Amino acid sequence: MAQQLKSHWYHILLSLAGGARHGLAIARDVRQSSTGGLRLWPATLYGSLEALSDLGWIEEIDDPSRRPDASERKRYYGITRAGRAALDGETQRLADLVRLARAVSRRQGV
Amino acid sequence: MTGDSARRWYRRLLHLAPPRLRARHGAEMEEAFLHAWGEARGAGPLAAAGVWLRAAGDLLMASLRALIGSGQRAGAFPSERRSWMLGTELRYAFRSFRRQRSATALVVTMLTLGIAANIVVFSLINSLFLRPFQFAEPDRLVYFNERAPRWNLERVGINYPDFVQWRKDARVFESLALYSDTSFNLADDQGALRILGGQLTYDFLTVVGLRPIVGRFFTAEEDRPNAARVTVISERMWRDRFGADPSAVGKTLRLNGIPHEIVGVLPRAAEFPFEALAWVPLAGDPNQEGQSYSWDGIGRLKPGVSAQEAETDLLRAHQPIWETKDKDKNVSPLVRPLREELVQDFGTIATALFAAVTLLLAIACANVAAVMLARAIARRREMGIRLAVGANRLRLLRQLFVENVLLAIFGGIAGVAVGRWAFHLLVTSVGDGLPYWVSPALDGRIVAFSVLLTVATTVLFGWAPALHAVRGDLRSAMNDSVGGTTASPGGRRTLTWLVAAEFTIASILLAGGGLLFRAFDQVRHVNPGFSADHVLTFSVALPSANYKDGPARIAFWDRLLERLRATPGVEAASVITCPPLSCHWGNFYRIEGRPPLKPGESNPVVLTRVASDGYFESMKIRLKAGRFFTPEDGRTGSPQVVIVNENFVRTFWPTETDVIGKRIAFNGPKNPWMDVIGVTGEVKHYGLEQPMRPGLYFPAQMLPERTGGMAVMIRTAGDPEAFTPTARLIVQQLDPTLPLYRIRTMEQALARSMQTRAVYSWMLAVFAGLALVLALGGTYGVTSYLVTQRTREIGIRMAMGAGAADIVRSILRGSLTAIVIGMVLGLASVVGLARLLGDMLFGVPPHDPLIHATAAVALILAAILANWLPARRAARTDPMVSLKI
Repeated sequence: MAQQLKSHWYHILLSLAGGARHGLAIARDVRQSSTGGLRLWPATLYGSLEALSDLGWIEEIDDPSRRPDASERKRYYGITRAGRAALDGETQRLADLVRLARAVSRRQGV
Repeated sequence: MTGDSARRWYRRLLHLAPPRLRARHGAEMEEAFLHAWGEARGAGPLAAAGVWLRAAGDLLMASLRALIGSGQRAGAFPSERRSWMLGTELRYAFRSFRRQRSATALVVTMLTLGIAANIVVFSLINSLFLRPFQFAEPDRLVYFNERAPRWNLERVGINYPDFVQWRKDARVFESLALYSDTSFNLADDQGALRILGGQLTYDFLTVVGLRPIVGRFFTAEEDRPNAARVTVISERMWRDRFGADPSAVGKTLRLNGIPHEIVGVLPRAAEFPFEALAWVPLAGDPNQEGQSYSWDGIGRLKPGVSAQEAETDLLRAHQPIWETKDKDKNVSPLVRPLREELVQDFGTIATALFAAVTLLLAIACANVAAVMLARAIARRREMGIRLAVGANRLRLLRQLFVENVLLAIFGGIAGVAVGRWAFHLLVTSVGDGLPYWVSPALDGRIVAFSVLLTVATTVLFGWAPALHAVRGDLRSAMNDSVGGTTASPGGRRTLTWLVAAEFTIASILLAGGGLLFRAFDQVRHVNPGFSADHVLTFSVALPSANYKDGPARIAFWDRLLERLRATPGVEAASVITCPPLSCHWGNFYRIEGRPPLKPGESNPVVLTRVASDGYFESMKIRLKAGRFFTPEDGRTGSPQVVIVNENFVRTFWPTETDVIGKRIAFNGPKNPWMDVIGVTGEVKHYGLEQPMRPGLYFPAQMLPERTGGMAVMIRTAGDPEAFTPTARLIVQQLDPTLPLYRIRTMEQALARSMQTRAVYSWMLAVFAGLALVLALGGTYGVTSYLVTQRTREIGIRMAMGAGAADIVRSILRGSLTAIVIGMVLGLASVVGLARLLGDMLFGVPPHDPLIHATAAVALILAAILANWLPARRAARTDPMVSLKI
């Protein structure tokens, strides 16, 4: 997975790697873990969730706490094995990048 | 806004999103939005507005992403094509643009030209009126001065004791200050330099509401005669000369050879007047009598006070002056808004340009409307078929809407690009002609406004035709076009009158622009009264610290002229206090044999110049009577002499034929009489468009004290500009501390004096040209369409034996009548409207037959061309072909 992953996809995958969540919870999680830097606006959030589902990286799962009669059901998502692989690949890519950057700056004595 | 209404509004916004997303996640998206909105609401209305904007952008981006994706996925998931509506509509729109390439290009071109012209003119007006100075609350700032109608002076300059009196008694002013522009010789080890500067009273900074960035401003004690020499420098000078070092305060600056202590640094916004680099206290003396009228005033009014009220207030404060020293009530205060004062005649120009660009935009709009209407009528059949097979009317409208918006966006982008380029071109070409306080810049708001304007225009004008196309019953829509016959009479009439309206506006612009251009031409051909070619001029100021008295100054000028005249390539050289198109020094004189002035009698001020011998010869000024100065004139012991101009003779000796030997004297009973030895022709001292005043010249030796700063005039055999280095060398050999400044050829000075007129004349000429092109394009588009619609009819006619000429004639006759009516209306209204241009016309009559005839010919030719091209095409069609369609 040498190709760069969209950063909000990465963050969504990262959030789901910590457990199944629904959309708004993902957005909150992402916002916190990126220390407020990344805000997922509704269409971006749900558009990404759609796209990631289409790729098979995440899947919709049953709401663990859903009561049978809940009228407005929230969709819960969990990460799939393919999703985890994509996440790991990107993490590796980023780690390589950081290593490279550190090495360069050390050589220049920064 | 409550949470409920926010939810409702967001639900509406959700329609921007791709339908699939909305259907699957709509409810959750609402929750997510409300979450963000609730957070932002706590942070104030601005943050909440930001959330709305971001959310809308987010939805739009999502649908754009879906759109881009749709192309790739269309094959894989055919069922999804239906859901991404915007994508379909965009694709249809592009397809329809491709099909109607010329109509599309026409609309986009119109919009481009309209927007570009708008951006240029609005940016110009914005630079001039809306953001000229960076003073705090500029609306409360006024300019004040004194007027003296009896002296034939609208602004005489402020007398310092008068100002002191006003400052004491004024009630509606928060603060008042005097200012004057000046310049200094700044000499140090780096060489000699002439810098612009100002003299200010100590309250100036309070008036404009600025603070020194380092140090302090003058104190009231320093703003007195014989106070310690202090100066305040500008931020620019502080950076350039002192490297922005705060310790510059306390250092010494030698201005005009005199050491001044730097006490403070003023921000860039304070560079007033001109691009001043250093200021010194004005140091007026309130008690000395007989002071000149020379200062300008700037004041800050209390909130809510008008300039008119301020003038009344100053008039009241002025009463004691009328009671004591000015019993004839010659001078009275004058107050105007500062902006108006600085903008001066730019106001009329900006209004004219504004009107012109509005008219131009109106033509562009009419064109867009006409072409859109034609497009819509032409597509009635398409729309009819789509409706018949069950298309949703709303969806068809949305399709047309998307097309219109797309057209507007293309026009907008191209318009902004062309507008930016044109504005840049304009600013470069005006250069120094713009007032110094204008910082020309394209304003983002204006660009946004112009684009919004076009989107609105296109959508508005595209909408009606769209409705026209979709509305109405299917059968007539199908019938209308199935036969390929003539368009509905209603639509055709609307089109014809749109074209006629375009020609009305185009003729207004064409004739109006023509009148102004003719005025420009006439100004250019005014005889300046001197010969500007091969003359180089520059100024040299002798600091009084080194050239203490008159003889020392005269000695310098004599040596300089001697050196210059001995230099090869110099035909003549001389010095004068104020060469044409430069400064003004006014005085009053007694005329021998004339009774003293009665109170209330007008006493025009006389332009007074001090010139060396050889001045008239070097400028080739005509001699009307008597003789010019010789080197002996004005020497101590020789008779006191003066040369007057024709206007002086007309004003003071209107009935005399021979005025040589008549005598005048400076005002005041003790001043000696001086003989008039010559009369010169009229020199346009104040500019080619300005009337001349009575004027006279004294020989330099007679008023040596007055020769501290002179302009050197050199008539060269070759290129005058190329002589500059030699001239500089000669001056520096005489005194290396003397900088040359205001260096230019007289031809440059003359061109610069006409620059403003040149720029707006050219701009209006370009607008007139654009108007003609737009009208031609619009007419061509409309006629083409009408003719296409008539293909079958024409075929029938030709089959029945009509010749090509008959066809062309019948088509021309149809639209030319309306066009000629429109044109006549337009030209007639120009005669009325042109009066509003006033002085800009420079005496060219609004009904100038040459201009009107030229405009009429150009318009008719354009109309014939626009109609003839499609008519010829129609006439060439083989009737067999056209009947088969």
